[in-house]
Amino acid sequence: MTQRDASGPGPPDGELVARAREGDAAGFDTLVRRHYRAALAVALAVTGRRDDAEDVCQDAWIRALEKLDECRQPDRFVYWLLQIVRNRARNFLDYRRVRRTETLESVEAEAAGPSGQVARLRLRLEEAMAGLTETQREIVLLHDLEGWDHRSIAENLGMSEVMSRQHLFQARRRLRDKLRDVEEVRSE
Amino acid sequence: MSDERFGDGASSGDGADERPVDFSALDPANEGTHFESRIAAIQRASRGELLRRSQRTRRRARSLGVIELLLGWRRPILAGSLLLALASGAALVTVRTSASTQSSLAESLGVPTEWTSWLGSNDGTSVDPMPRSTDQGSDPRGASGGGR
Repeated sequence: MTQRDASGPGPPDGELVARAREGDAAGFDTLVRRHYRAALAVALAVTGRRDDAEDVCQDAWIRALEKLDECRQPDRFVYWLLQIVRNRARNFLDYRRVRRTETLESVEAEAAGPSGQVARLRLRLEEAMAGLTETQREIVLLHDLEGWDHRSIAENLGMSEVMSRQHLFQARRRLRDKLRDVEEVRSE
Repeated sequence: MSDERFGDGASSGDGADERPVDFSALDPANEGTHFESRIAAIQRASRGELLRRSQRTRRRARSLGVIELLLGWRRPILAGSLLLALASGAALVTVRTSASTQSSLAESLGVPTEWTSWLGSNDGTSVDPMPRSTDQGSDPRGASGGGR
């Protein structure tokens, strides 16, 4: 996987943020498409479930748009956005604890649905990730799913690049231990 | 990936912990329609806020337009204001001068100086002696006293 920094190709985030502030839908759309996966990765790291992460993600994007004037460094928009995602996801988690029974039922129903195999695999990944710390989940998802480099991850989480590498290494090892049977099936 | 050599001593030895984990089952980009539907949901939900922002931007642009128009006309406006100020100053000076020459104007109209000074004194004197003083051409107060 080619590692990249947090900003993608095309107009810089600062320019897109300025356009979105003026109500330019195309500018905002570009921002969403560019950073949706990173936002989802962070939401997933906190909530542990992709469906919940997607709901949190949508909520966080709207919240970010409403508060866009408070983004003081538009060039570092993605880090600001991910902080909003993190906060929204934690709030969601508190709310979800109250409705835990319903959540488990919906997971089982999804795994038994028509796209059962992908859903089961997703469930296995989510279960395996539950054994990691929130920071480890965020790092491994941003690195291995979203393709961020360690410099961007370290900046996002306010830690050194060495710490980011250490967390990634430990997260991968724990995940592989838990997903060994899945990987063996895949490699056959 | 050469930059991920950290932890070699603790790794399983085959470099497995240096390879990315396969998260494709969680990757929204692998489900084209689903990904697009999530993006569309965000777009729908953000429509109101974007509309509010574009209206605010237009309002700002309009008010800026008025300011720019005024800035474009600032030289003629300044010149006009200067001329107006000069004209107003001149008019003010003229009015003050005419006020100071009010008594002499009365004299030129043939009104006796005694009358004007009497009217200006406001000492509550009766108007009875006025016909006599007119006849004698003297101060009505003095005429009143001298007649008795």
